[in-house]
Amino acid sequence: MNLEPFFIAMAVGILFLMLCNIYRVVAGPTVIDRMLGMNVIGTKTTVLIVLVGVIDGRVEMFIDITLAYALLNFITTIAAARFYQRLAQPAPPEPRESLAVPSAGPDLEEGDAPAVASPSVRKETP
Amino acid sequence: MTWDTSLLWQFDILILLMMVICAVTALALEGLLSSAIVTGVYSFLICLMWTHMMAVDVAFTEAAVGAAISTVIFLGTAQYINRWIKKDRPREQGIKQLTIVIGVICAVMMLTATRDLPDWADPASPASTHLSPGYIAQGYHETATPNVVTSVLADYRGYDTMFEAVVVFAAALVVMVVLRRTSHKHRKVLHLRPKREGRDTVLRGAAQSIIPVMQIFALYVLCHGHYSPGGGFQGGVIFGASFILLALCYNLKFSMNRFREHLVLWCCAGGVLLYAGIGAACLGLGKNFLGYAALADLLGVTGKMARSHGILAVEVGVGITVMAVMVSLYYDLASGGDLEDGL
Repeated sequence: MNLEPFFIAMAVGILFLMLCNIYRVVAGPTVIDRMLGMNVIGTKTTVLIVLVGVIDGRVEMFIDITLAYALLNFITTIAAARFYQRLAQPAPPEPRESLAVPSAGPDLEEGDAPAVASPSVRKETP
Repeated sequence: MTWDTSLLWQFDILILLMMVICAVTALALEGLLSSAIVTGVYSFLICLMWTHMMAVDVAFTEAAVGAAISTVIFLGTAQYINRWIKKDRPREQGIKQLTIVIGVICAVMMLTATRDLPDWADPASPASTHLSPGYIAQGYHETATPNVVTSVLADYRGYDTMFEAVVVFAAALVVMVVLRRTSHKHRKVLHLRPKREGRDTVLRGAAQSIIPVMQIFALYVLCHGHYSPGGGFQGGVIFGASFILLALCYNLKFSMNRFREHLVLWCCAGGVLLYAGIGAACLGLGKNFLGYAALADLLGVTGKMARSHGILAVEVGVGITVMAVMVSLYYDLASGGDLEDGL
């Protein structure tokens, strides 16, 4: 029995489900929606790559790619979550110039301080 | 009923549609986190496209680089610069519009150029008539490497791959030269960064169980490149990703205690040096630069097998460089150069 039409139909069906996730990624009101959408798309990509392999009859070629995806998709999600974690935390009060370098020691030259601090100073003046 | 699987147009049209949607959205969205996420989705889709085009090695590289590393590096950079970006500044809006104009001009030029390109899998295209048949016919007999992509990459086109590794190495060097700061200068910037809270028990447990698997898998990908898709680039990226995962789940200091910065730099340079050194050894033994057949007497095997071993050795060199460069890029970009605290 030729199962190829079945697999092709399944692949196209999963692609349509992916389209739904794309909608969530594009429209998603919050960043968390987008993160979840990306994660689900990654999972679907994993399945789809195996399906392409099955359709072409060379599934052993594609298993490595899907394994890499399954391992690495995890990292992206964690990185996005870490980013969001920092974004959600309130920023600490910005230090004053004199308090910022209490223990810098004698090797901190005068010329260094404004160069590093200038972005934060610029932030306060519109 | 027969299905011509290479021309599954439903598949292609859906993927291309989603890719266009993602590309436009990534530009239009406010906020760097959202844009980075949409770029990640784009990378998933293009990997799917390449898989469908049977460009398995390219798809593997995209899977390794695009799905994980590039998004993580985007996010690491974004969290560092995010605090200094002011929204709705008229000058930046102008730059954004200028970018759109440049993008449209480039798109028009490329679309005009596509008419001259050969069709997908066109047997009459120059690449299919002149170069590929030779490689496909002789590749296995000359190099004992079943995966013709690997033999072309590391043997027939060894120069290209060597300089690719050099380019990767140069990228890490440039990022380091631009961003790296000595330890006493960073103190003020560091105060602006909120401390991470929480104990992350689940995350750390997951990292502990997944990282050894990831590293073994990376070594497998590196060594098995002769027989299946994979090789130095992909294996190196996956190995580097394991250190980045460590830094994400614990913190940057924890990862840096395991893989110190000077060791990272030694690995960056050492991989390229290994590659070039093998080429120079071949030169010294009386053959061409990177002509691995010269190593046959040294290794005690036939010339064919010597080329296979030479490919493996240079892949190891590429893998070491790429692994160290990925880690170095993450260290520098995510911490803003002070190596105190990452993403």
